[in-house]
Order: sequence, then C-alpha cells, then structure tokens
Amino acid sequence: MIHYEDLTEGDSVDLGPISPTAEEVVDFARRYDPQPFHLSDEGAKNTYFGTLAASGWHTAALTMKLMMTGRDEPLASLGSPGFENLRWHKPVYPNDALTARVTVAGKRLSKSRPEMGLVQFAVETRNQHDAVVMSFVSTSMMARREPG
Amino acid sequence: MRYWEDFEIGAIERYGAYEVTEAEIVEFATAYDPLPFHVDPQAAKDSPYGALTAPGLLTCAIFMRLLVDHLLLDAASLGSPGVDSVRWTQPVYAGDTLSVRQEALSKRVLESRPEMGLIKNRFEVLNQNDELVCEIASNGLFRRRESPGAPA
Repeated sequence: MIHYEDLTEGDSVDLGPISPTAEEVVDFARRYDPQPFHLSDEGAKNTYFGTLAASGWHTAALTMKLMMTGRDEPLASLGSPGFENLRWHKPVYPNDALTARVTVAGKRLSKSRPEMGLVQFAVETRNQHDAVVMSFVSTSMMARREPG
Repeated sequence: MRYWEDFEIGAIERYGAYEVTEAEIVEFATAYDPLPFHVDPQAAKDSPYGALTAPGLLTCAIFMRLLVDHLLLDAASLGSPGVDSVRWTQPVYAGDTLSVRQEALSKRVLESRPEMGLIKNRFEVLNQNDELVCEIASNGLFRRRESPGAPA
C-alpha cells in the first residue's frame, strides 16, 4: 500500500493506458450524460465532436480508475474532499489510449485527523497522440503509515 | 429551447430526484473507484463512514444526469470547457435521494466566438434531508438566440 509518507512533492508517474470501447462510451452516456453526441456517430455529426465522443465525466472516471489501480500497489486513500480546475481540453473518442500523468503537487498533515495527510495531485490525461485531453488538481486524504 | 439570453443571473432552479442504490454504488465503484468503503458493505461498516458510500465521481455523474434531463436536452448547449471546483461535503449513502439546486452567477459573450456565450453556475447537490452533499462551480457554453453573422 502506498501511504502518505511514500509520496514526495514533485514526484510524477505515468499510469495506463486505458481505452474505452464505443460500447462503454455509449453505456456510460445512456446512464449519466445522454446528450446526442455521446450516444452515436449520427448524433455527433455537425457538432464540435464530429463523431461519437465520450462524456467528460466518463474521462474523469477512467482517470480515477488509473489513479486508484494503475500503480504497482494500491493507494491508502481515505477519500477526497474535492478537486479544482477541471478542464476538458480535447474530445475523447472510442478506443483512444488514455494515460494519466499524476504529479504530487503538494502535501501536508491534517491537524484535526492525525491518522492522515492531505495530498494534492496535479493530473493530466493524455491520448495516444500525447495531447492533453483533460486536466485537474485533486486533493486526497491519504492514510499515514505511522499516525502522528 | 433555451438559449444563452434565456438564463437570468441570480435565477434559482431546483430539480431532480435520483435514488442512489447500493447496486449502483458497487457497480460504479468496482469499475472506477474500487476503495473498500465503496465496494464492500462489510468493510464500509468498519470504516469511519460507517456504511457504504458513493464515490464522489458517481455523485458528479448523477448531477450530470439531472442537469441533462432538466436543462441541457432542451437548450442550445455547446458543452462545457470545465469545472472550476467540486467539493464533496458529506457522504452519499445507499438509499439517499439526490436533487440539484442551480444558481446562475455570471454570463458573458465569448469574444473569439460571438455566436456563443458562457454561463457560470453554482450547483448544489442535496440529499433527501436538504443537506448539501456536493458543491460544483461550473461553466456552460450556449448558443445565442441572436448572434452576429447568423442567417436571418
């Protein structure tokens, strides 16, 4: 398990790749984001996307999966209070190969909860052309190996 | 059909009633956020949360569904460049029913694309007890009803 102590400010890791199939893109959109351009090629014609594109929240969920499961060991995460500056820079299309570059942007101990620390991750999700498709900065509550 | 002009600053809308089930929490968490307190009811009982809780991104996805159903499918929506901030303020448990409170904070025409405008909204996701579970500051792009250069 990767604990608070194991993360050093400035450390960066590339996780993935992961590729959503067209079926997965459509399944996610049917449940959570049923706008025409996320449901079929036909519905995406004459829009910004051109062809079927993944919901931005699907891209965020896939990136979360890489953050939680993409390392050699699982993160000793206790949850998250939130994230900031989420930007969807480019469309994600079915079968794009997504990787997440996760950089430790900051860390500090929690005053009120000595069993954990707060870690800021700067995250960039890229496609197979090395273009950034999404970025955000998240905060994670990470368990300490030796609670203070 | 709602266009950029139809959004009034300060206007508040309240909508949605989405029941979060244990099955949906486990399914979403298994796919995207497999922490023990999201996927394993027993482990969740022994965690500080006391019971199975929804991944924060499931709350965001449910918010999106309510926004699409209430607003976007009947609006000249052109997507979103992003979300300024998301705060998860309380756990969402299986059996909770979520709704959305929306307030338009500001709006402006895009200088580079005068046929569209941006609206900044503050969204609150509330549970059945009207407790705030998630707060979202977001941006939406909408076509203008009367845009320069549009066909008459």
